[in-house]
Amino acid sequence: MSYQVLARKYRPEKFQDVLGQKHVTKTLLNAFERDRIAHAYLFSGPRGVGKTTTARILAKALNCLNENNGSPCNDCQNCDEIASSRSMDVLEIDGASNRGIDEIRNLRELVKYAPINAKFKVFIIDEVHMLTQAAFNALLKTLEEPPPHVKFIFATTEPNKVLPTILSRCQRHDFHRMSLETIEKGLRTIIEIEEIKIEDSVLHLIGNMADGSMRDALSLTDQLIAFCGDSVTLKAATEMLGIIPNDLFFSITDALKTKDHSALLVQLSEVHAKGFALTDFIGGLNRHLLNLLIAHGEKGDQLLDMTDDLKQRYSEESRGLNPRDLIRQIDHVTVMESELKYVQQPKIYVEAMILKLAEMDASVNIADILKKLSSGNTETNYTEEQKATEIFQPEPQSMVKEESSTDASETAPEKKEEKSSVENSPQLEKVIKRWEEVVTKVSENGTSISTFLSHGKPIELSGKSLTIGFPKKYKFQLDVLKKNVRRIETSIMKVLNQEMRVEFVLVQNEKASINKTEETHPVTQRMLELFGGEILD
Amino acid sequence: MKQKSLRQTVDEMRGGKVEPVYFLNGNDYFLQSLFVDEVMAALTIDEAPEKSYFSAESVDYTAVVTDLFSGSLFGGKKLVVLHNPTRMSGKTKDDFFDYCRQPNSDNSLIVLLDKVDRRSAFTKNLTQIVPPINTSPPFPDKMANWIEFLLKKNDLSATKAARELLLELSGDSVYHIANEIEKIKIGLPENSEIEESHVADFCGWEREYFPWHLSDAAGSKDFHKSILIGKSLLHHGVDVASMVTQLATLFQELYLMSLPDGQENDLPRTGWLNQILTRKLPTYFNNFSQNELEQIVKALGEADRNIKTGKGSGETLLVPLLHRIAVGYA
Repeated sequence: MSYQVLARKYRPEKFQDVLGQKHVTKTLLNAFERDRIAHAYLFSGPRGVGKTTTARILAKALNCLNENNGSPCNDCQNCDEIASSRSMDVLEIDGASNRGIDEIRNLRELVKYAPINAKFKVFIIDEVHMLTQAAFNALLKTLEEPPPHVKFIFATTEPNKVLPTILSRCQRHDFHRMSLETIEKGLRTIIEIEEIKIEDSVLHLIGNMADGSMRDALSLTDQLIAFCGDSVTLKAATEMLGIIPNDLFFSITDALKTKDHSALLVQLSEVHAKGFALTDFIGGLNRHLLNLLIAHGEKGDQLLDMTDDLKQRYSEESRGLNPRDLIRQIDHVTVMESELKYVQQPKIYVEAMILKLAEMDASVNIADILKKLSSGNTETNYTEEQKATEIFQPEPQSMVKEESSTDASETAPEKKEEKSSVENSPQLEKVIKRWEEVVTKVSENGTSISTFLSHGKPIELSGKSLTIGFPKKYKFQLDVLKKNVRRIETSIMKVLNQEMRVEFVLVQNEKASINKTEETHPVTQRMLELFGGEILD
Repeated sequence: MKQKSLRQTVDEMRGGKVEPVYFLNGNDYFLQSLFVDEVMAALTIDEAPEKSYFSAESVDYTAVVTDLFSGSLFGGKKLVVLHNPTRMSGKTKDDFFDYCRQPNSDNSLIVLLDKVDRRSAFTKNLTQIVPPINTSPPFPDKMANWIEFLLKKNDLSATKAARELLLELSGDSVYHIANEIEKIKIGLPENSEIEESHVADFCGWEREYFPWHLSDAAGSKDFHKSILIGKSLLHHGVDVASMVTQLATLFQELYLMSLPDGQENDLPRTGWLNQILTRKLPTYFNNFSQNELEQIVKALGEADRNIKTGKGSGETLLVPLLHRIAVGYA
């Protein structure tokens, strides 16, 4: 007899055999008991959790000749035909390859005919989200007014891609990821029947890697049996599977916490030695840090999309961590992720960056430092707990004020500089006052030159030398002005009755701005200081 | 545009007044089917009327309209349900509107239009003839009443916590709530009271959110809800860039409010916030200091740059950003 993979060989035959989906199977069994079978079901959930299997069991239960309160006998002709996909009344359609309107029209034609030798004609459409919009629309009328002998069972991993009008006409059941414990228990039962020795730690590893999917767990077990034979050890399993285990990321974060460089390098060489792709490793590390950040919040573990056991582990691990550090680490690893593809020596780069990650100082809140400073205590000895809990407390308003005053002192030299440029000599003030006249005079010789000149402002007058400042963005115009400097000097002579030698320089935008509103409006100034940018005309 | 309420129309029908044409606008399937059932019940005197349902795909609208005009000498009443008949065109469309103006009293027509689009020509024309009945999912404050109604209809009772959780998990449409209540009813032993744990067990179906829900959660400094909504939006294919843009709009408004004279109307406003968010601006404003708002606007700018330069995407970008907003500033 040809070999059958474990996932097919041990496919559940009864609702009671379906693992980890009691909330669905119990409801379906009760529906039989209370005669409340819907005309259309939609089973949604991650891959390998039992959607199609449950659909088949439901089809069998509906058509079984000896059905007992929702349990198919698995022995009668109908059960046998359905199990071997020979039934004329149960049609299993792959939505991915039969996604067009023509296929659905054919299906609609079939719906009209009564079942041949069963109670119901059952249509199981797997991956229903793959149907086209036109195909969904074609299905709508049938779903709205189905003949009494027809039942629809849709299965999908992406219910959000199913047309809402279809969704709303089905009874929807959501399948959950299986817990590590359920997977381990299921695997143990199977390997006992198969008489294969697998260490408990291997079952744990498989369960972790399966990410809540029993089918993935069984496929991994199949691979291990093929590789190791009847006795599977942890060493052989880790060598063979080639998937980065979650434990490795937890070890990395542990080593980062304690700044243990040698442990980090050992972990990294292990990643390298096992042939894991560095991009996968960095991507996985980023995801791991993200999970820790999410788990850190109140009821944060509920937001994680993984098995309950792993959720708990993340929740426990995140307790001692400072979320602000985690954010900085995520930023750092995100940069690594994007830069990794461009570096010549990825291994060295990753090692250096991970060590840098370990050497990052713990984050502290400016408000806390200011508090310490104001109380005269300059030492900031934070306990881990303090860092984790106090750091994100909203600062009191007084502290905000103090902080902004510190900001002010930090920018003081800049302000001073501005002030000195504002305190002009009376001579320069005179030139500034009549500058518009100068520009008008220049316009008599050429409009473009005067337009260019209007962007500048006299900023210094030393003897006969007048310096005119221009924002950096007018570099090009400056070259034109330099070529016409004589005309400008002549115009100055005519307006001010004074001989001057003109020089043009590029300065910071704000200093050269001659727009009074922009200069004086505190909101605009603050915006520019904070967010950068430039004022457009 | 004059509208009729669902309740008022149902009351009229129960009093014996059945209109020959109804126009339901909104995509809550439960409300639509509830209404159709009520019409069926009102039309059933000795025997139920003949019901025909036509969906948008490949309907011969000409035949449908001709059929509507024709009366039967011997047959009973007919109930025709037209679902999204927006593809109707030309003479058929004119005939259809003519029918709506002067309907055949032997027949009953219900037009279901899922999409609420007051600018569409079809909606405009139909609205001028038949007052629309709103069948969109009710607002959150009304949803609690629908839970009550559905529980009563199913002879069930639920604890306060269970009702609240049900509203939170499936309050995006009445249909969603009805689906969950039906499952719970089947799953639980008869006559048992629904508890919070039952709702958590049976309701795996995530409710649907819109980007403004994320802005609301972030403005309320609710990290848990922000992450929940953010992840759900990403899962439903909403681009992280559009989420950042919406958050930036909200926080720019809040920042402008924090500036001198910010409460007055002389400062520029984006005007891009919906009415719910605009109404709640003062509440959000109290949650942040000016310094925090500055840092958040900066962080949003940085996030925008990172998206555009390919330095971050998806959850890796969104989660730390939401943490910075809802828990502590950058």
